[in-house]
Amino acid sequence: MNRFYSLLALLTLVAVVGCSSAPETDAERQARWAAGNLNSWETEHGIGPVTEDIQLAAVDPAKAASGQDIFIKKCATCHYLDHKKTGPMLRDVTKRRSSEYVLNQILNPEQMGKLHPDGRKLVAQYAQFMTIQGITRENADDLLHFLRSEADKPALPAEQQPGFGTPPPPPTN
Amino acid sequence: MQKKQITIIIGAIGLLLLLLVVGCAQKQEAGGFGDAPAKVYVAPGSYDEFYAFMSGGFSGQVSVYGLPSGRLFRVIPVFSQDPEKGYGYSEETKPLMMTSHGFIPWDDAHHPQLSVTDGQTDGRWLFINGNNTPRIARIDLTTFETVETIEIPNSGGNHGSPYLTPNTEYVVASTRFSVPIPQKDVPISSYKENFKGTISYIKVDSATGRMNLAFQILVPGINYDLSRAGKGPSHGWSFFSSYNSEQANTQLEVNASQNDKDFIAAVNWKLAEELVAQGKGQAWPANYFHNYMDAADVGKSETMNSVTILNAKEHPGLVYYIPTPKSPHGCDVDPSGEYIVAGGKLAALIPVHSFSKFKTAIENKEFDGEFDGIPIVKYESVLAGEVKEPGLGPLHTEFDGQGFGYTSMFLSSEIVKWKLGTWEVVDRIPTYYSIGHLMIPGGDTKQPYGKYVVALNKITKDRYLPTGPELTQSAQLIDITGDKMKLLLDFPTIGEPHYAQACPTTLIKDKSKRWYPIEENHNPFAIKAEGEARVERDGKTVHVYMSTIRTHFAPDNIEGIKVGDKVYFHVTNLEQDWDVPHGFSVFGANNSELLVMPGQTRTILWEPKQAGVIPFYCTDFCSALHQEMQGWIRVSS
Repeated sequence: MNRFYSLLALLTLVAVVGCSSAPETDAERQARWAAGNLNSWETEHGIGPVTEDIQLAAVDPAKAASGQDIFIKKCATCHYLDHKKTGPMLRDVTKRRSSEYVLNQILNPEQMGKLHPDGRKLVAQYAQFMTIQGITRENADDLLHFLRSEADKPALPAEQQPGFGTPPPPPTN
Repeated sequence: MQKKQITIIIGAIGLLLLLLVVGCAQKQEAGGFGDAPAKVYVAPGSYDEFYAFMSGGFSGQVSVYGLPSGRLFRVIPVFSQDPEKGYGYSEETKPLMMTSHGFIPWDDAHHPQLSVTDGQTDGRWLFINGNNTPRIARIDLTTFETVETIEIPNSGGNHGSPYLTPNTEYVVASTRFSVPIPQKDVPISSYKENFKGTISYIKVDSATGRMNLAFQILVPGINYDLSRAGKGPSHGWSFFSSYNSEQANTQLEVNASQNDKDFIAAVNWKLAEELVAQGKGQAWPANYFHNYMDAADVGKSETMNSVTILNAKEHPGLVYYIPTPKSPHGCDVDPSGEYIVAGGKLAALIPVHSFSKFKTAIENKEFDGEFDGIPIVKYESVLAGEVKEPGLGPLHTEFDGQGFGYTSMFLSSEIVKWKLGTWEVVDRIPTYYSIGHLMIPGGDTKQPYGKYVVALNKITKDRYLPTGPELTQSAQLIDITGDKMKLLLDFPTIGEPHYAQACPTTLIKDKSKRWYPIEENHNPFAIKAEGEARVERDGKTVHVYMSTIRTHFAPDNIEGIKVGDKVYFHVTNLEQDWDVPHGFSVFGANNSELLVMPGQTRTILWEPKQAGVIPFYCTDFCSALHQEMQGWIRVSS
């Protein structure tokens, strides 16, 4: 009987070690997310292509400028920095959220809205999933530089928001 | 006493047997479909095995079904305006309906043909003919949208069309009705003297699919009905059924059914190509339209004014007639390319011609006179065999790749299976009712996929719940994997399912476009970002450069519009995600809504007639705030 318990213990040990040492596959991760089982890193930094801490470089003005272009084309349809629109205002988003979270939100909006607890709250609040805009990882990095460069600046009036575009009425003739 | 008991026992046994028999018969009737439900059940979330493209006949559309489920996925408008999609109403798509007779928003669409490479379906494009105002359209199978139409000049009805040569080198079109060519004002009774037919070869660019009318062959004035191209040994030839060799001009139902035999016209298109290259064609003036979606996804119309004509009589070897009983309709070539099967709709048999015997007969000059300058090859010299007593009203034949032909029988409402080579009928199955075409996936190609035959029925009478005087037309899915054909499923169709083609989903599914990249939108009225939204006035014309994304339009308040203005809404959908089109409709519009695919720009014209504040909104339920997706236009007098 003792031998039996030893064997059981050994098997359990093998199972536990086996489980903990094998890296999680993409499919396993997707299944875990779908089951609503997010770990603490994911709860803080979001789910998506970014799965570990990133090293932040200093804000690069060229990348921030490129980020502003992308922001105007792709983001300003729904977000201003300090003016309410379809989605949240983004002036201080890089202070409220980690860079990893911001990148995951930009690159994986659908799963962030469906499976992440904070993302779900935003969907409930705005009654809207963030749209997919065909943003590449490089675009997202530039956007992050832009958002970080804007974070400490003062708020702007509505008509000076990047991407603001209420068209003037046509001239009457 | 004993006798009585025996009688009772026998009686009881008899009663039991009777009950058993009746019971069994009833059981068979009720549950006679066996494992059919399992064979057509495609579980929720699962995909079908085949795409089937069915013509909508006089609805002018193509509908896309899955097989074996019979589920309808999409209706593709082709020759008919479709207000649901804004097709034929939007400024971008209106040019596709232009003809030399002006804007024609309807046609009778008959024969879908999937593009082929080396005689096999390649899943790139679908071609379909417009019968009434002769046209051919091309549908792009990455977007399931009509992208090109070309008008056929010198044609009196484009029925025998758009049959493809084995590498989609050409789309072929023959005139169903002969007419004076070029048109002129002559007595109808001068048919024999003045009426002619044409057979058109439209070159298809192998990279882009773009069509170009390469040449037309002028042929004697009879009705050219259906066609198939040769393949394998018969590659380089096309075959056309014909009727009215009587050249009757009235009461054709009687007068065009007099002759014992009409013809299959065999056309050597490789020779035609050479003759044209040698400059033997004549340039005739013509007037026809070629319309296409350009690189900016905007419809363009070009007017064409010349066509190259080859007069069949003047070029020996270009066209031969093969006598074929009796007003043949279908004209189908088997997978090997050796046999040409004719469906003589008034014939009591199905004649099958042999291509190799046809070649030998030409070499040996085994002719039986000529018809209006075209040599007639002797029937007996070309005939491979006859399928005897197949049924009534044979029309069309498709092949399973296992050595069998399947012919539809219109009058006796059935499909008949027969063996190539022995010409024996091996099986038959009723259809409900009046089958026209039939379709086996890849059944006209070198290697049919087989598995099913689909009956395309003109009449359904008692098969479905009644819906007033007009009842649905139908398709029936029949399993052909065993010795006996088995009916699996009936399903109703959009319009007349005149003909259909099908191919494995793998040829199309993974190439399906999910959205149009906004960076590649070159529509001159597109905007790439919401900040570019604006309103511009040019005299009485106003251009609204509008963007749409969940869940707002920009601009959404428009002022400064006046009664009498022509307002063009150029709506760009900024979404870059699958399955997120937006709709746009404005109160009092006299045309339709717009349905704008992600990344696409579509334009609709609106002419306000009275002062006031006019709402507009998104019609395609796009998100939770869809009801908020709206705006107003102030119109001043």
